[in-house]
Amino acid sequence: MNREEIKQILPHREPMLLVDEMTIDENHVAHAQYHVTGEEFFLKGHFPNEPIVPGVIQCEIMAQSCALLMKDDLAGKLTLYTAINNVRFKNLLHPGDTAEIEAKLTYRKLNIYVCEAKLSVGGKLCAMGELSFALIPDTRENK
Amino acid sequence: MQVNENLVKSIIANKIGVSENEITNATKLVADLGADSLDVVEISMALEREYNVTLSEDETAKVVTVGDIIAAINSHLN
Repeated sequence: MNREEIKQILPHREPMLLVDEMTIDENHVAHAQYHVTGEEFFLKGHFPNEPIVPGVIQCEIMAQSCALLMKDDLAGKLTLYTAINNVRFKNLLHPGDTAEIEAKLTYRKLNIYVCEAKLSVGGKLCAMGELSFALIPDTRENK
Repeated sequence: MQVNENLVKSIIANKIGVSENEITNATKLVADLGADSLDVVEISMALEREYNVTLSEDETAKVVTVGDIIAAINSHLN
């Protein structure tokens, strides 16, 4: 699934669409990629002359990969964070890096979805954690 | 086997951020403790993992009191 196909599923748009490619394997594990170009808005002040992708943005990259796991339930819905648990940041994410995300759904009940996700670069773990989401009706008028 | 009610109350207290002393079997999760839908699902998830059972969405949706969730878990243990 490429960026245009991802846009058919996720409501996120530039500059906050943070998944370039995604596949789901036979075990229903999502494998996604996001290339850090260096032009992202969040790098301009984080930090001047030393751009590093903020941890919260790494969580968002993982979250969007998780949301794609729910693609069959996403029509007419928005995914909102409900919790971020046990997140650890192990290594830095820099411009030029391609983040590789692995995400799996570990629990679902009512409109709550719980996923485990990891973000790595070249096999080196940068971030990991458990992310929870609620699916709510998308009531936007201009989608 | 029956659930350990003190453990259930401890899990609920920890998830919602209240004292265990405030919790009885008659305590209502939402009305008395201020729980939201995520709290109820997270409590359900924690108890399912603790007792290795699975509550249906219908069972979880019907939970109002602490006693309800204890009974729901017990129904899968017996």
